[in-house]
Amino acid sequence: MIRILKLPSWQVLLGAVVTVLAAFFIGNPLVVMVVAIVAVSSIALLDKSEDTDNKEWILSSWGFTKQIMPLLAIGVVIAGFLLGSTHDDVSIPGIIPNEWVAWAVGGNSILSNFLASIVGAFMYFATLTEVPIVQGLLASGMGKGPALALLLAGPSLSLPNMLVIRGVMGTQKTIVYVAIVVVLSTIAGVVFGSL
Amino acid sequence: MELKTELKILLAIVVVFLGIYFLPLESVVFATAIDATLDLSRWYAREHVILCLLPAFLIAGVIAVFVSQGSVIKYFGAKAKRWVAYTVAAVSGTILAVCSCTILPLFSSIHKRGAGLGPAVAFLYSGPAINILAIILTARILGFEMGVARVIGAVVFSVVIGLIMAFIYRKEEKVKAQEQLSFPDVPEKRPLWQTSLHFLPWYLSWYLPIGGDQPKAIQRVFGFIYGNINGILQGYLV
Repeated sequence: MIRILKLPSWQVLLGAVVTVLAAFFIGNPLVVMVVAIVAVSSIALLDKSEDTDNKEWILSSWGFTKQIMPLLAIGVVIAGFLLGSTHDDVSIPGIIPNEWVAWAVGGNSILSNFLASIVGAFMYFATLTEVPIVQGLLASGMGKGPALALLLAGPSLSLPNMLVIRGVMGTQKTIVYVAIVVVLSTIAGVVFGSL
Repeated sequence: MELKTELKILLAIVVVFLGIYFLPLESVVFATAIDATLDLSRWYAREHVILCLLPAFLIAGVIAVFVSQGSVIKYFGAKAKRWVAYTVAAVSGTILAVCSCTILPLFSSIHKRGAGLGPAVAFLYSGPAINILAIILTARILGFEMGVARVIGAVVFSVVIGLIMAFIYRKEEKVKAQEQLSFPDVPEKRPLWQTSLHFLPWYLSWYLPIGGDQPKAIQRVFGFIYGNINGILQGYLV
């Protein structure tokens, strides 16, 4: 950071020291991360050299934050309300009953694959959580095909994601993108399910 | 006062009022759904925002500011050879993204910097979809054939989806290509490798907690290591 970004060495060292101290004394990784980010951001923002890149870096990151956080928040709230909250050992249903979901994706019809894609597309899946969820659904009768459809549509898409993507490429392109993902996932599911 | 705007405001007020008036608070299903909403939101705030999103915003900032537009256009732009663009997109999506929300600031950034729609979308899809850990877990828990199907599907999809999007919007992309041809070549302030090297500690340290999805114990250990590595590397680059 010092040589490449031309930041004052004492500041970087101070930031590094503070971060390490935080890591030692407050084991919580969240706090450490926040400390590190605050340190880096302050150093870059205070950079008084004429090359404003460092400041712009932080300001640009702030711009992304402002653009994306509200959309994610709204998306998470809606997704939680409609589809419920499933993570770790928590499984709270949303307004749409679990039985409906299990019924919708059972077997291996085109419809069940399609519905699995849709559920996957809208529901929020954190990395690695989709596997236990699919495991549970398979146990309740979901077919292999719909399972694959869910796995292909799930990780990349969710309602919060769609809102943000819409902010970047516009509503029409977002709809097209989602449609392509859903259709391809459905096809993959149907093919896989009948193998 | 414009009638349309005022009517919209009135409609909004009425809708919100009716919604609250008829809130089915006695319904257990409704109460559970509210519970789910709050639970998901809290989990998201705890597990994803700080470890996942904040570093992603900073990295998106890096792409927006430090990676010259020339580099983005060279690899992802309309002029780039197609197979290069899509390969780079899919691969970097795999390496860079750890959680589906983190890909968003990055996607926004390269899109802003002039990446072609096809490669950008390939990047967007591949990030969360081609996740080595998730695929390994899929193979182990859901069966080998499921894992294989998933990885093939994800890789093929990212390229295919990108290509389809590029094809549908080819006219628009052509216009963008013309504009990009006439961009003056701003000399890079520092070569790309230096920028990558500098931000490598960030990528590494960000990767270690892996989006906060790991069991808490491992998370604490990694957070600890991360804190140290980041600090040491920052000081090391003196």
